Amino acid sequence: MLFGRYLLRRLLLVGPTLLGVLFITFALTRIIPGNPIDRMVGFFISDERRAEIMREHGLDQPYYIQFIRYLGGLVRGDLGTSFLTSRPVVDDLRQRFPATLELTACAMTIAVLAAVPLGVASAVWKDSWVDHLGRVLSVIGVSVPVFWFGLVLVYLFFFKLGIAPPPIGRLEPSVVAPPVVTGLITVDALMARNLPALWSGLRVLTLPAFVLGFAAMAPLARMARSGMVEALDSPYVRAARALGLPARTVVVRHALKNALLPVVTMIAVVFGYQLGGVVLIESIFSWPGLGQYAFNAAANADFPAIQGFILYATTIYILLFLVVDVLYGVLDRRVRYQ
Amino acid sequence: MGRLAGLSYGLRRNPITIIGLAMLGALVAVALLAPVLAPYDPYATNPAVSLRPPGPGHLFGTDTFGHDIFSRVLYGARIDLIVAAGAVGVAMVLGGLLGAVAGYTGGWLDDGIMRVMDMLQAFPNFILALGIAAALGPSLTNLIIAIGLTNLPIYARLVRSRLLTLRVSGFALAAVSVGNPPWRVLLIHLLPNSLAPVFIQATLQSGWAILQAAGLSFIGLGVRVPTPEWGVMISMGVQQLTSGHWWVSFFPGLAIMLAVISFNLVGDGLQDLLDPRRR
Repeated sequence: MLFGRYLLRRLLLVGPTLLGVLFITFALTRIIPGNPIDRMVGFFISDERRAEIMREHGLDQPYYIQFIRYLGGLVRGDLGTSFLTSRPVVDDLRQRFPATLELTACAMTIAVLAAVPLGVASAVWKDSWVDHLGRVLSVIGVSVPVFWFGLVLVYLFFFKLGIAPPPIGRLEPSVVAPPVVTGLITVDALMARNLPALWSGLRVLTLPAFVLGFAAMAPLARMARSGMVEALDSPYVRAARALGLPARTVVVRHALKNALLPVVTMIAVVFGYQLGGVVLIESIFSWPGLGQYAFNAAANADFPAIQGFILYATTIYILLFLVVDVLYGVLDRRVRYQ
Repeated sequence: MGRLAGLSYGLRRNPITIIGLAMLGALVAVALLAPVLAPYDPYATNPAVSLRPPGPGHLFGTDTFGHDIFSRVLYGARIDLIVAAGAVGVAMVLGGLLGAVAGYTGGWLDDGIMRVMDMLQAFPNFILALGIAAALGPSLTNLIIAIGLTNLPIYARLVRSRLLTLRVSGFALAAVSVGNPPWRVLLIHLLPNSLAPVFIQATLQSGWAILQAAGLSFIGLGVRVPTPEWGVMISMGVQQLTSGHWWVSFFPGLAIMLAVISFNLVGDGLQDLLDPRRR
């Protein structure tokens, strides 16, 4: 019952936030840049023709009418048409989403699998070499420009050592792609029992996922460390120790559970970085996902596409925060009473 | 123990912060002295020395146009520091003022300001900056505005939460009761007392701003091509990388990393110094 109320309150909060996000995105492309028509058709058209085009696009209406129409379009799933691909932006985004999902999911898995043990070990053996190593990796992780790191690794592992596949898309050129079911190459390959495609898909994923994952690892490891330090110092852990429980049991069964709760929230925050990171990383690896789409759109002033991407990515981000909030309520019952 | 003595004691206990400060000092020195230190004009092209590897004549090599990369990396410190300082300055001043108004007045104004901050923070950080930069068009000023606006809510929140506690503290109530007008209490008494966490945040954010600026310039939404900005320089080397000319992109990226590391080390160190619980 209590959980139901908690869930409802969270859901109700999403509405106004989403509306605000829509308003800002709208404002970005309508109010700030002067006249979008100039960007669409250039300056060299007659005033009559310009007025005609303005009318066609509803740009002669007051802003609030334009905004309502814009919302109306969104409700019908209309994000406009890309200047670049001449296709509805929604279709472009939907088609490219699985590639980005596969990449970010892999990156996040790598990040969590590396960050949690590192953070926990840093806390358990505080001020040991593990802790120092963790600190150095964290500082580098938050300081390295991801796109540059990606380039350096491509140079090393593809160009110099020849171990990595070329950074051109989701499969090596010689491999036959599995039939599209989910759009996730690795899953589709598994379903089609196409082992060469699965192997190739994983090989190609490795570098970009590692680069994104490395950047995501630092904040997660810091969070895991500070959570664990706090947990190890808390009364219930001291009580467990005083009872003579083995150190391993105390760390794994008692401290870890509580230490990892803040990490769950951090995962949502880090995912936001990743949505930005893919814009830079996908272009380097020619990864046909949302990030590359945004990159191309930005390079060609394709406003509907940029706007669509921003809305899409932000909506995913907000929903992910909602999921994490709810998950938090499930994992930590105290949250529900607030 | 005096304040300075405490500071120097804290610093001696924390050698990593000293390394950070030294790196930051070197960065600022390079930015200021770039015209003296750089052996070449950062814009001078010379087809005769296109794509030379790093060596005695050109310490970091040259790019396709024969630009001397070492000179450009030095000048890049200027541009990237200007962007970082400008963006963080915009965020700090605007965000700080909004947070101050929200925290001091309370009521509907507080609610209104904070809801707008919520909306700004609902966007993934880099993606909002990308949207603003795309809307404004690529230029140095717009880059500063885009990154500044994106990072503004952090300062608004910080200042607001400090003011909420300070507003009801003894010295603030005393200032009000002797008849100071509200703006005077806010500006002279409350704001100076909430600046420490703001400056720590500003240091950490400067590193972040450099990364964002480089990223936006890399995708063509920041500073434009021949400008010696680190992100632009990396993008100019992408094509050369697959033909083995690694140095074009490598050195500017290394410069970004070192600059951001120095800001992060100093920021972390300040945080430890000013927050006794973290010592």
